[in-house]
Amino acid sequence: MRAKRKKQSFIDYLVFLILTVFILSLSIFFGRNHQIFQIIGFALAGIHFIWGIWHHRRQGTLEKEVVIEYLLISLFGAIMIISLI
Amino acid sequence: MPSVIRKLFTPHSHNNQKASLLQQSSLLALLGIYIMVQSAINIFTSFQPGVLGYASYINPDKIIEYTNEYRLQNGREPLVLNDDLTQAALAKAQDMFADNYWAHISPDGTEPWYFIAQSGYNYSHAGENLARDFTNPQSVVDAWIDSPSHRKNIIEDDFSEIGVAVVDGDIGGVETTIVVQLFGTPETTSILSSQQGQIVGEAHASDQKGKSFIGLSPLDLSRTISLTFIVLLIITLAFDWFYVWRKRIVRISGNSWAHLTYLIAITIMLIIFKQGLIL
Repeated sequence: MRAKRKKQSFIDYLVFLILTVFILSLSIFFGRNHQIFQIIGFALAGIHFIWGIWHHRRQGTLEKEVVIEYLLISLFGAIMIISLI
Repeated sequence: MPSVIRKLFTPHSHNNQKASLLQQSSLLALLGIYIMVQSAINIFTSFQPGVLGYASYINPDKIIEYTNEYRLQNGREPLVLNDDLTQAALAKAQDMFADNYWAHISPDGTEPWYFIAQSGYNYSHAGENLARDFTNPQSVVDAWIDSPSHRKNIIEDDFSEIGVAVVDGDIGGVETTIVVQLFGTPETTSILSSQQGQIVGEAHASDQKGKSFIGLSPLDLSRTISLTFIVLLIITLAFDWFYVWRKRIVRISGNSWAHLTYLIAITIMLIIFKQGLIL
């Protein structure tokens, strides 16, 4: 059971990593377009937050504290990108 | 390690097995401090224009040189400098500062062709490329080349003459350098209608100084502050993860690897974000 959970967690993380690398590669192409750069920043924050909920729900560890933690960290990143632009 | 620092960065029985900096209240406080610092920069920039700005060293001649280099590489004839087009580019740049706008068409609807016509240049075909907040001429031309519409203007076969202006000024409270690049093809018959013109690139306006050093860029300052906060979070997450892994702590918390991946991605975005805008 524990090994299965660990495997599932690894797959979840792999999904997140692939999505992040994909979004990040877009930002390299659109570094000069500030509007698109901002959208990419929001997309990355959204993916982090939604992935967090999805992952913890699958793991059966979804708690209010966890949701708030993901929300705050996602918000931090998004605000950093906005403030830059 | 002093206990306060240990509590801030590592999980411990005194901080409910989670680094204090990663607790909800601390994250909220950090977010609040970050927003306040960034807002202070914006307010400072608005009330003290000129204190923060973009350092630049842009010579109009270099813009023309790099533009012609690129045209030659693509089998096009080099453009010839035209004084009327240069004056038109200068007028366009000064108009943007005077009316506080950053666009091909002014808020009152004045098109770039108006400035070309006013300079006395009779054209059959014209184009404009604009750039701001760049620090050197090569990065300006490179940015235009990277943009298909601006590149099209640079290598346009129909253009034979060019005028470039680089002007320092204040837009929205921030000192900046605007570059206006105008392209044209002379015609014996004067055409004053803006509809007959065609935007080929960006207009580059210059006060002919070609050199300015205004101060610290607000973007660089903002980026440095963001990186400071994000590195602090990354270090804390790394320490927290390491202690949880080593001491085999079981707790309800977010996935540290996901947070680290996300914050590293944001860090990369902050680093690759390019200064300078083109239109």
